[in-house]
Amino acid sequence: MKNYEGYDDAQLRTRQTKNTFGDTHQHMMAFMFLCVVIALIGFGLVCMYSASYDEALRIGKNGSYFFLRQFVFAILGLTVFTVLQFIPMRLIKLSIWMALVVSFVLMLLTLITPLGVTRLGSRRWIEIPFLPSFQPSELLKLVTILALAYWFSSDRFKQYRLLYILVPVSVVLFGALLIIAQKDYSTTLLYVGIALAMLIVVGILFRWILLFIIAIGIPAIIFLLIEPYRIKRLTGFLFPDIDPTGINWQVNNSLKAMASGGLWGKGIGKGEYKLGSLPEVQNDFIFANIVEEMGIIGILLVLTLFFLFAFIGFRTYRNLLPSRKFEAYATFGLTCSIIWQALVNIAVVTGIFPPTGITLPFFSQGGTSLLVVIFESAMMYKMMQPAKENVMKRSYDG
Amino acid sequence: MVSRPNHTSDRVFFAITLVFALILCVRIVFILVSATESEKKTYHDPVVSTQVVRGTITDRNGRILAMETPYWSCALLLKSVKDLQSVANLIADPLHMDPEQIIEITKHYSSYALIKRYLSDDERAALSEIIARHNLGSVVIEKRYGRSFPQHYHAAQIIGFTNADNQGIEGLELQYNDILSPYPSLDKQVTYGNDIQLTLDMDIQYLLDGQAVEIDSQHFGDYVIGIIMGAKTGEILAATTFPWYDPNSYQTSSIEQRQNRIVTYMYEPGSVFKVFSLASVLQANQADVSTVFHCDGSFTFHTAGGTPVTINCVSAHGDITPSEMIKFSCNGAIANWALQTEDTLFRSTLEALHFGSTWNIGLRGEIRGLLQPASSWSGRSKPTIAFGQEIGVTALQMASAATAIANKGVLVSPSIIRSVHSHDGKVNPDVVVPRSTTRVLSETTAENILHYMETATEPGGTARLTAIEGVRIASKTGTAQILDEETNSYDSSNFLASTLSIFPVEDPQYIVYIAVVNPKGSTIWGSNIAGPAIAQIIKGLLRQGKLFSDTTEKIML
Repeated sequence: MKNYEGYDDAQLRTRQTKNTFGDTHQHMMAFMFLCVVIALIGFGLVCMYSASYDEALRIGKNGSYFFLRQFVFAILGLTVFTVLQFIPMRLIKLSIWMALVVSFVLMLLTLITPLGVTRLGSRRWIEIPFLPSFQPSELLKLVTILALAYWFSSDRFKQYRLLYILVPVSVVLFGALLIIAQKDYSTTLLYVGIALAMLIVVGILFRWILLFIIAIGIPAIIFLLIEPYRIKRLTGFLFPDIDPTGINWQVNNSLKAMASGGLWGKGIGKGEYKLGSLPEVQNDFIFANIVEEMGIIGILLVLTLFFLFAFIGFRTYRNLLPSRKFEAYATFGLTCSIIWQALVNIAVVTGIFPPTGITLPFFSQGGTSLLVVIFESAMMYKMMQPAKENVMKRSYDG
Repeated sequence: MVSRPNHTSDRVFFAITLVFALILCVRIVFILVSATESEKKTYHDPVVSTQVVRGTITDRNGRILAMETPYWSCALLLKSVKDLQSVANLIADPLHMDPEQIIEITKHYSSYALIKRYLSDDERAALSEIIARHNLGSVVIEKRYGRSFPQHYHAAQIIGFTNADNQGIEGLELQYNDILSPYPSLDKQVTYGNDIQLTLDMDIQYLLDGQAVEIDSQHFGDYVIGIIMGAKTGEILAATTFPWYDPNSYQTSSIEQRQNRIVTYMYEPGSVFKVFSLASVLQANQADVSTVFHCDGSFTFHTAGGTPVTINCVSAHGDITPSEMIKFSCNGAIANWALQTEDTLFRSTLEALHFGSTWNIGLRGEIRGLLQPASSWSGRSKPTIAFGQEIGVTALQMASAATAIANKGVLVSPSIIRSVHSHDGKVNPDVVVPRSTTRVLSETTAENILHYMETATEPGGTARLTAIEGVRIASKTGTAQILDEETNSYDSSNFLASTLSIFPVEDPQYIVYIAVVNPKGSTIWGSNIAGPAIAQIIKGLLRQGKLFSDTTEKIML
């Protein structure tokens, strides 16, 4: 006999057994994950210190100015990490809808009120008194993942039939429009990509997914065409010789920086391109500095850490199914969010993707951005914790 | 049914992520391995100049107008000061400063504090002694460079000045700041700026400035504006704006004194403009100028709406030909001929003569002047413009438009920069001094006008006071009313007296234009105020050997 989830009892039993059996395993995974996150934060701080030292001096601050800021936010992030572990999951689930509304409101405030701040030509930051400025789109991304996970994990919503798919699609579409309105095309792409992956993972039928792609894709293409700077970036990426000193200048210098370091790098702190040739290296192009200074060891360290992050994330997703669907879907979404952002950033730095303005999680300078990434990791860590009472309850239900 | 559980699709995403990561790995390894030797080369800080020596500005004969002069200054190296109070006490006395004052100055600096500029020799000697006696390693006496302007007020508004940090603040010093004082270059300890040679000739400038003072002492004008231009080259040989200032002590000058009114002052030129409006009328060839115009002291015409408009002359001139129109400056005649010419055609020649547009030759603050489009002219605009009201010009525009008359119809663009040389004396090819020549009048028109202007210097002509025996001079005088901006009407006591001269007529070499704003002396007439000044300038040019005449020797005696 098949239950409503499409598993027969035998399957369900094996999976549950696996789960109970895997409790130690899951503990192990969670511990490894914690180690990976701390390693990423620590290594990120080291790289940020090296990359930002000269820039800090240039703006007339102490050399460790950016590092200290980032350090404070890392400590704050780890505090949030710890506190989050004591908050009941029920409370988190309850506050998701509220959080979604808040992030939409923050997005709108950024767009249409003076609280929004324009930096480097884009209105993406919000400055609320007594709080550090941050990009609400990062919050929106996180909350949307949790909301989608919650919606698809709850059986309650399945009875709505058509609305079951239309509601999440509308939320994603609205969110994407708000991010696009901030001229943040790359984050929009990432946002939509994560949503799409989640739709596929929760098993939405292909024809609905196709509808989703069309609903998102057509406006996206129109937005691509009406903003001339995006076309410029694209042509500059495709034909770098046209404009060697223009928009591709930073990518070219990033490639030169990596090449100049050679296989073994120049040594931590001894990078030369950060001294002006690669402006703002501590932001989007920090990976170029890591490669220049640490060569293949730096690459291996970064990629291994992110690989472990992804591996544990996807593995946890499998382990949590089918009994803890909310946790599973959320873990999946958060893993995709961080890993894909990292990969897209590295692709930009290595000249595979056109320049986008996406940062490298854990590494790029930016306090609130680091805070959000640590919060996301904390969420994942929380989901990894075995929750026995839930499993038990489930088996009785079944 | 919109969903079907499919809990294996995460593997697909993990696989996609892995493949993506692998592609990136391959790409990075490719970047590292394919790096050329030049890319692997380690980077060394280049030598960057620690000193930039600002270039010199000279006139066309190499006479220095602005140059760098060294001076001694005293500075404190704060990082090696152990006891600031005692050091301040020690050096206060030789520097003639208060110790508190020195400490106050150091508060603005973190490591290097400039305490005093321009030390006198006594101060320097006393300070050196103190430093030697107390072994003060933290006090340094340094040679610095400052700007000097040896010509003082001559052409001051054109040259401008620099601030204490030797950055151009006004005039050519500001306009060509990057050329005079370029960015410190690589591989050199000292970077030398470019030297700029101007078209000015200081000998001629002295003549003009002398006359400006003379005019001011007799006629008490608000401003005296004068310009002398090479008739064939368009080069500005001299330009003056009185009152002036000394750029060596610009701090004590007023904005009024610092304005370069050659290009920043817009005014209605008055009768001098008839030269150009007649050129426009002749060029259009629509007016019947062969029929004599009878002037009975006033001329009345009707606008398209039928309103009668009357234009007055100074006196009844009788029968007027174009030549006599210039000679006697008859308002009625030129108004009549302008009315017979199409609006756009009449305006197009004036526009071609560069009225209503800037020359952009490097003189800062240049204004366009005012030449309204023909579509917004009222019924009385055209005849009014014809005798030089209802049009705004600058002195530079007037003088350079005259090059078209002096050059058989070819307009030459004015210039102030003669050449730019790098420190080693080579012409700097990076700095292009734009010059242009455009034919705007026919040869006959230009020659005719020049000869009409010559008749004005004959006995009975308005410009007879510019005449010098033995030199053929073409002149046109003008006395314009100045619009009172507050009341928006013409004030009967506020005039602009001006004269334009081109000489020698047989082969024009010089264009002189002098305008006096609001003279308050015994006379207001351009012919009486600017005319004699021009005659004196011509005498001066003869004396300097820059102009020859049949009677040069006699004049020199």
